[in-house]
Amino acid sequence: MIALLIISSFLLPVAIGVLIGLLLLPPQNYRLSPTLRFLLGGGMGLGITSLAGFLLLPLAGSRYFLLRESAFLSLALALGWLAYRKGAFTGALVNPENGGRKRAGVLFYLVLGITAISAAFSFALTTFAEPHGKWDAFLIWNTHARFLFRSGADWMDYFKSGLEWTHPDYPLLIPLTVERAWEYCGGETLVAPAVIAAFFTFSAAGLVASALGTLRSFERGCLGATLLLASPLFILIGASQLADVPLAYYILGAVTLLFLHDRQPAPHGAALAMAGLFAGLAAWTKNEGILFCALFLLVRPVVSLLSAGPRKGIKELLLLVAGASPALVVLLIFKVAVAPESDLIAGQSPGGILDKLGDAGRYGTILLSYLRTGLTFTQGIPDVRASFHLNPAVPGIVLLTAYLVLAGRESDPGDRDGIITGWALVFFTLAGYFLVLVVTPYDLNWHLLTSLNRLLLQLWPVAIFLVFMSARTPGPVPSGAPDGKRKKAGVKGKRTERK
Amino acid sequence: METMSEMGFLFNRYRGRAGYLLLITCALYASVLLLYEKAAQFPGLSLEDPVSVHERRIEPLRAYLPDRGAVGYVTALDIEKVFARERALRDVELLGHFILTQYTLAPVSVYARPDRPLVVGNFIGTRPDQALLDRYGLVPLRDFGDGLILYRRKE
Repeated sequence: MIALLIISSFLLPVAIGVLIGLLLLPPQNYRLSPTLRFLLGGGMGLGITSLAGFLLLPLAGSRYFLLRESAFLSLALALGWLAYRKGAFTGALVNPENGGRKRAGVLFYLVLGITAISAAFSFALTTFAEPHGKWDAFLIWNTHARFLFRSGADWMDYFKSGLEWTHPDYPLLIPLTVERAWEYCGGETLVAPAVIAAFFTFSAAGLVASALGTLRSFERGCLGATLLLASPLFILIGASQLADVPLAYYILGAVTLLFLHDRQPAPHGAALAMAGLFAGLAAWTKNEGILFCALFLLVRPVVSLLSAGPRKGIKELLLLVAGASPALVVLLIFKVAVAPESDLIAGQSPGGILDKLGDAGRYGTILLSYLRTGLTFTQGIPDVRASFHLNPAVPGIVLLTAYLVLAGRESDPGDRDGIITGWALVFFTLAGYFLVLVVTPYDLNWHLLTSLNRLLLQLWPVAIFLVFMSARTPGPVPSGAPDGKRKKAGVKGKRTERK
Repeated sequence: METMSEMGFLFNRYRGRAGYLLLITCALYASVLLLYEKAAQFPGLSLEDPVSVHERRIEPLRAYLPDRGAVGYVTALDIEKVFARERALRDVELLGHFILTQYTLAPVSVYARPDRPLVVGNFIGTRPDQALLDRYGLVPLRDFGDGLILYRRKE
């Protein structure tokens, strides 16, 4: 019964997200599988309803639930009517991959199936052992959800409480989603945050599979998702009810939409606006997402400007900002009018920050930690007192690099801007985290040990996606793969290979 | 020379498939290993997880606290030391108890210092330090057992 109520809390957000996806990326122009539409729309819808939920919080305590859900139902009906009028349902359920694209061999589906089942059981066992989630789940995310759910009309009290150690400045996408599910259930249940965590974890893996399946080949889609689901830290942190995996999902969604935009013969910009919305939702998920969003809005227009001139760069900047603006406006209201100052800024003096910036030892410590953690972070939740131990057989950077070396690189000219943007985002985001760590007010070693693996995990799904977008296909090029699409799109260019 | 060229040809022909094979093998290994580790822990798990146990222990306090508002907190160590031990990666137990007290009692705010009219004392496995209680003027209001005591602060 509880599970049904929680699933019912997903219905309106998923409907809203999928319908917005259908309107922005109509099937006539974007030949996407229903799975990809669902995986993009689901997370987008949850993000949108949490944004609206925040704006409606001043009504909390009276008819908040009824008013909010009536608004969502009206929005879903209006979007459905609009989609119907525009003929966006026509072809929405047709799987475009059936149209001549070579399917992956049974082996790939079998491996993905085994890994997915294994990951699902590991997820379930982790949740059973720790149904409240790990440390940060009950210190931050579920505590925020409890304050929102239990406070009613007095919800603002928490943000003025001065309980800085519970990080009341953190964005509210996850707490508001959990709180909404609890309202559907008529009370708090441990199942709700666990189901939401599972939704984002398996949506991220599904998004890797379906995006790669659409953009490159089914084999790559299966392998990309297999690799992600076989990364122990991804499953363990996903099941721990932290916000890092939802953030990873939004980062992946934003980058995926850039590729979908670039593959269009005559792109009209809606996919870019949707990419901007995903970046905005990343910012509404976690403070690290704010850095990603800022970089996203900057890097992509610069890449376009350099490759196609200032006109395209400025146009793309406007589209991305337009897409991100709903989330950024809500985030601005939250940060300015509701949340206290971030713990990373509070109490820091300019002199103290400059001292840290001038301390070469801090750079060395962080660089070494980046190297060690970078090589091992996917292996699982580390024992902070244990020594460095690399297992190259566990999917991680070593294995991904080995695969890329073996497979060789092969880039489609149509994907060039997306690949450059994607890797530039990974690089600059890591550089941004690096700088934040240099000036952290906390003990540097403690901060590195307790956060760096999760920071790297946020970029892990997009890194897998980008590697499979850049790796060479074994054997002959399947029909319907990028070459075919390129011909259909009328884009001239040759596949470039580097060995 | 010819052998080298043949090897190069074979490498180029099968490198992509070798990459796939490597990924599949490692992914299956890591996936099954994680499941094995989780399954191996399963028989040792108690029916109730530690957070739920702590919640059940703290829950009776609710009846003696206001619906909203604030309470102080006292434990065997000064809270600064509790945070410092966690930062030094030495001991997270006392900080965990504090965090879970807040988690359980929300929306009542639990402040780290015992300087509020009502103060939650949490002393699992230890005894309250009478000198500390005297310093803050804490008088027991109700002892819930298992080291959980609600104090009133003398004005």
